[in-house]
Amino acid sequence: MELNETKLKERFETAVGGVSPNVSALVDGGSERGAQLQRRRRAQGFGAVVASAAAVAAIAYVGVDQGIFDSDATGPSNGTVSQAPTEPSTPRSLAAVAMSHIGLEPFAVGTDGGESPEGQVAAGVAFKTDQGNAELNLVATSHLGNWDSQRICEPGDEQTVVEACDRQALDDGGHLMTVAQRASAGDGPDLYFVFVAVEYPGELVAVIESTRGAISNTDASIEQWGLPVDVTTMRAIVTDPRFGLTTDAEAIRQGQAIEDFKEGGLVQTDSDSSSATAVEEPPTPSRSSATPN
Amino acid sequence: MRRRTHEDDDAFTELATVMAPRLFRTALLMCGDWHLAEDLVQTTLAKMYVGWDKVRRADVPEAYARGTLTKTFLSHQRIRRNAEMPTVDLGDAQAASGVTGDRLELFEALRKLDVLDRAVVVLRYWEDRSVADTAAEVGLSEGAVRARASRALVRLRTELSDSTAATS
Repeated sequence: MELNETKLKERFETAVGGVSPNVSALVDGGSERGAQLQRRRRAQGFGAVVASAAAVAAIAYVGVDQGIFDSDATGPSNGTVSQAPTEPSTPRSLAAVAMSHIGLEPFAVGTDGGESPEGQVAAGVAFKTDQGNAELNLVATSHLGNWDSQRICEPGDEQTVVEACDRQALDDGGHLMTVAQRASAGDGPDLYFVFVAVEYPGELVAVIESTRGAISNTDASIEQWGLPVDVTTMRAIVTDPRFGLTTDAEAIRQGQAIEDFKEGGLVQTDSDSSSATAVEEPPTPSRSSATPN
Repeated sequence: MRRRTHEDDDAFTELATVMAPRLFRTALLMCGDWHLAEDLVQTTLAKMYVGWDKVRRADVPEAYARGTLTKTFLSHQRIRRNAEMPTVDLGDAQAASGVTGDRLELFEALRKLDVLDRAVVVLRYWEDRSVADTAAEVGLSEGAVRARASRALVRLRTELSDSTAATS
């Protein structure tokens, strides 16, 4: 009996028509994998805050101090962020400058120990506040390979909502950007990501706050959300001339004076900033010497 | 932009439960391996879960799912194209469903086809997809689909008659 299309269909039907897979296992497994995939994409998707710079997600989730933008960078920045500052910034100085603007004691400060490429500095600081816990990722970079500031208001995935997005020109030629996204976290409180950055030609400095829940009023302007570290403070950080690829000697000194700065100890395992396990919790670092004169 | 709700999860589960058996049978024909078929279906469902907004808006969610399965299968095969092809493995299926010699014979014959040819014949003759739909799904021209379907049919005819002759 020669095989033709009809016969082949019959053979297919005979072969698998009566097959009965374990449907509940397939569906449960599919749902579980889907949820995992969604979480992973969301983690990457924080970079969605800066849609074209998805690698920024790496700082928020995978850890600070890694290459955050695509590697087609052309080398150290000739950026204009700093005027008087001429010292190359360090993760410590970056953290010191940020901490000088925040009236809170961090419970963790450091890097994940990764090697930053030349032209990029990054650090992380974590706080516990009455409004909830927050992680701040700090970065100054000249690695702007795929950066496209025109796309910062685009959500990165289907589960993310852009709650606020603003871009305004500064007098010094930079552009200040503020983007807030809320990501549904399934059965937990929503995750909020607030990205405040200044873009200069060839350089981007950014503070990214990630926190979970405890946002009092997202209907109000973002300045009134009740973030653990408010947007006004974040803007003050990114517009501080010492917060960039270069800084001044005092910031370097203040950074060196931070006790318990964790080189490689700031392990961010989860985006759940409400959990104290999100960041390894060392003794409270001293900020006295990190406070500017 | 909308947030995922419990209703979404319930709707996903309902649709997945309805579609899983058919998806599994298609996957089994494509790959000839019970466990790999399970994996392909779970991966397909996971992609549907993540892309639920698109799925629920699709005119024919079943078509979306079948397309996803085909792409998942082809992607899997591309990744392992240099690896040794697995032998037919029906795993627990043999015990669970009383696998027949005919089925094994068919799977062995399908396994000898080029991966794209296999996808084409399964879509055309199991899923009853049109030439145009099949072409779109596997990324070929309609002419190429016809040619591959014809070639695959000839090859299957040979393989299956050979095996029939060998066993008779």
